[in-house]
Amino acid sequence: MLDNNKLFVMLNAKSDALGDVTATTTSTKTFAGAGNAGSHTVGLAVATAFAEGKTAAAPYTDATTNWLGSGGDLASSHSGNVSYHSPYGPTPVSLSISSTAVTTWGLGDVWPASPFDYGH
Amino acid sequence: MPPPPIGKASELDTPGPLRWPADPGDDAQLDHGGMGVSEDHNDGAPDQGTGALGIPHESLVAGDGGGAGVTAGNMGAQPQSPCDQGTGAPGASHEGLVALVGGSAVAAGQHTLTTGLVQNFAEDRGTYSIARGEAIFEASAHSTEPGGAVAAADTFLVVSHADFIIENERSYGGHGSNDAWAVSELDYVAIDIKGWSPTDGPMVIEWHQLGHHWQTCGNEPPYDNNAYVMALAEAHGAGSLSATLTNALTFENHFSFVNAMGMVAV
Repeated sequence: MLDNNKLFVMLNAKSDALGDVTATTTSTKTFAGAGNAGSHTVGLAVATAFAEGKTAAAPYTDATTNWLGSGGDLASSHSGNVSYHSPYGPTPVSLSISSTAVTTWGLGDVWPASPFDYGH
Repeated sequence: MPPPPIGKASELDTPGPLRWPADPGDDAQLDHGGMGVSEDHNDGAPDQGTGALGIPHESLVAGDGGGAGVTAGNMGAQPQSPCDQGTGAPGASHEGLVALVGGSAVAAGQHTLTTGLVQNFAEDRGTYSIARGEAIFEASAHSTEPGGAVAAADTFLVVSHADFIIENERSYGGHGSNDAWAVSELDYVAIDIKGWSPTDGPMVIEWHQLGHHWQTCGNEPPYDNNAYVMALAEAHGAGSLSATLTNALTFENHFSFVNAMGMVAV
């Protein structure tokens, strides 16, 4: 039987693009382990999509990241999405970027401060 | 009007202890040009409404509770059809060349590492289209209990509307009393000659290399539980498409999992 407080984290990233020139990348990383200050997990996901098309057939992009976690006493997450869409001109372009970072901590009954609370 | 999305990520309908962001992070598409920026920040405050913070969570793994929930039997590498041709009957291949390559890796044990890399490229060169790519997935596990480490890796390739396909797949793996590891690598080239098709269907050349031997020195046993994966896809040609998907999952002291796929169409 798994311990109730075992840490679990999952990150996923998706990107797609349509156009005459398309490029997509996705990257996800997760970590779960124990340190001196307790157990913690870290997850990062980045998705980018770029497309260049024609005025008659505008390029399309989409980038999405998401996370799912369980266990621990505290979760901190930060997600950002940037999209740039220029359907006009001889070479319309579309760009989408999505990123997500998440941390969870298992420190018993202590509520620590989130690392994202410092200057972010 | 932009075309409809290729496919939205399925939402996880998991009530209870699981946490996920309130804003799934979808991009708002801008129909008339411009730039959009959105951010979602969560410092772990318990009122985020997406989960019961501070509450110990139940196990996520269903079953008989007999341990890690993953056994050597159900994690064994499953040899896949190396090249799944979706073309059907032979004939002139006027359809676009589509190639999907990907894989997955899973490792179970107290210390696990899974990695994945997918690259897929395609180009429309006028009289013909060419696609090439590779997938490399690795898994390694270490357990203090003999027989408690399991690792598996797999790759796959799906090609449609190609006239020639060359594929090379290599799978290796091994295990000791406390360690297990697996590697699966695949690379391919596919060509579609416009207006022509082989009379007997696509010509496929495949290599399969399977290995099973003890892990030699050089690979450090993993520490903690890690999962890294990256996918790239690039397509050049009118009306081309590229799409990537990655997932990484770790469970403290139990397992790591990655999967990824990259699709190109020209």
